[in-house]
Amino acid sequence: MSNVLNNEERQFREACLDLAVEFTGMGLGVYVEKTGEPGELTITPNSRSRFEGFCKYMHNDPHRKALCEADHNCRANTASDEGLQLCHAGLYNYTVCYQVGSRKVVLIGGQTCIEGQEAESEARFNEFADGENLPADERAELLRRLRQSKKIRRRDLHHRLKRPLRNIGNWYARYLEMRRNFEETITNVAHDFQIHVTALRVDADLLCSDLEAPGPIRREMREEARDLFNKIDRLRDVVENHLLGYLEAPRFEYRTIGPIVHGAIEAYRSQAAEKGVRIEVDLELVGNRSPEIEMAESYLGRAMHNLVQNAVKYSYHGLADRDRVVRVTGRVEPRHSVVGYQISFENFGIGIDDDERELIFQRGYQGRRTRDEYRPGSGNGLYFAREVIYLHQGQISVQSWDKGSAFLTRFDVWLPYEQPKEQR
Amino acid sequence: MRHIVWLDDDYDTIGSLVRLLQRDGHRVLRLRTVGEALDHVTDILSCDLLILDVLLPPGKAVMENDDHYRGRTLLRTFREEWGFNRPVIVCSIVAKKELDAELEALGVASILRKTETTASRLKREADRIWRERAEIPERT
Repeated sequence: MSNVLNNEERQFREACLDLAVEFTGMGLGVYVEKTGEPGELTITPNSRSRFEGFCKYMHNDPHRKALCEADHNCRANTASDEGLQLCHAGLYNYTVCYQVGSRKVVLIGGQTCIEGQEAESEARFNEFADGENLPADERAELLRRLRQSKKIRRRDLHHRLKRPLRNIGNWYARYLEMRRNFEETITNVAHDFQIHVTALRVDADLLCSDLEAPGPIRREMREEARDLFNKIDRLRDVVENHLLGYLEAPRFEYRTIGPIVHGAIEAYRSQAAEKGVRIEVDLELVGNRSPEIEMAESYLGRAMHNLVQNAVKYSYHGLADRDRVVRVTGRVEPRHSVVGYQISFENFGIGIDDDERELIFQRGYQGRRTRDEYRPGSGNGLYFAREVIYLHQGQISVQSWDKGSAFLTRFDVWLPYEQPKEQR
Repeated sequence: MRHIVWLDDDYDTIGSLVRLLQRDGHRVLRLRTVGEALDHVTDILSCDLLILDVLLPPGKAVMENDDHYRGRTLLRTFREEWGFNRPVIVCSIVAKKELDAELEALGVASILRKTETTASRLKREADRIWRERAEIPERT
């Protein structure tokens, strides 16, 4: 997977570079370095074809070409900001730097002389020529080529080099950021899959061994079968919350909220009944009808599933009858003069500490009070739910109160009736 | 009966791995973070077998020179600073030769790949280790 992505990134990097070369008409390179790994300077053939005569002459000699590349790498590696740099042999380059996650990206190039700064260029060239003990004829030829190099006026630097390099650099950095998010999602999903499939394999192996042994079906075999079923359910959560959520584009339409909430409740009613937990629903109607809300139905449906499932799975089963309940209530509630609908999910069971009220919405986070049978998730359900609520311009919050034998936990979801025009 | 400590944040998902050991009457203490491990040092130092994942969340612990393989770092601390001499099975999804070599140098008795391990395999490994380490007797 990584190789496929690396090839794709390389192709995109080269395309960006060629575009920058077209914009500026100058030879450019892009340097990418990942923390802890050596950096890599990319120069495309198109870019090389724009090199100044001075550079071309230098590159004819393998030793001098290696010196040029080492100098480029060294300057890109140490560059931390954008600006002009004088190369080891006397030409100016412009650099633009970006930090994207653990990657440092430097666009470098535009071999040029700066008008009024010819003396600095020639002084640097002389240092180089002395250091290399260049024969007189070669020295004269290189100096001639240096003096013939493109000259840019300082005041033209902005539109000739700075602006195009910045624009292309921003574009490339944005692409890397998107790719980083994509890679992170793929890595998380792959890890979740690996763990869940491993778990299924372990349980299936146990059940097979037990079934192969002589004798009647025992209690532990039923438990193993039930474990298998629960783990398949969790694997389904990974698929629905991660993969489908990532791949399907949301489509907003007016839909009544009632059936969406009831659909989620029905999906978990039997699981709740197994724990002796009942689910009570009270959704306020508007003119005898469940209100219509503009929503991406499949997304919101999955978010409601996650919230109901959460309430059921973190409910204690050993409580007094009055507390073995999950309550789902809906109320019309305007917020900041926007008409909307609030849905609350209450349960008695595992609590959420005050300092975790934000953390539990982070990807992969699982509450610190969750343990053993009350820790059966992948830590992605609430993350996905919040993403969906935010996608709907809504709000989600959680509160938890210690009631002695259990915590009363309430998630409040608020959704506006209408979406902004650009969302449709 | 023997006391086993299992240090792994995935144990909720792959908890069934220790089921056969539990059926044999062994007691399993499950810990999921470095912080929890540090809260249970006495249990770890006196256990009959430590099953460890190298990938561990820090929990509330603040580790010096924090790295990707916190389980390996924690084991090194147990071995080098606290004189921990009990047998260790590493059960992890990570498959890296250099890491395996480091773990072997830390006296790990067996390295199992989670994706290939079954409850019976884990039990066989534990039984083999206890057989070879006669100084770890059954507890009553």
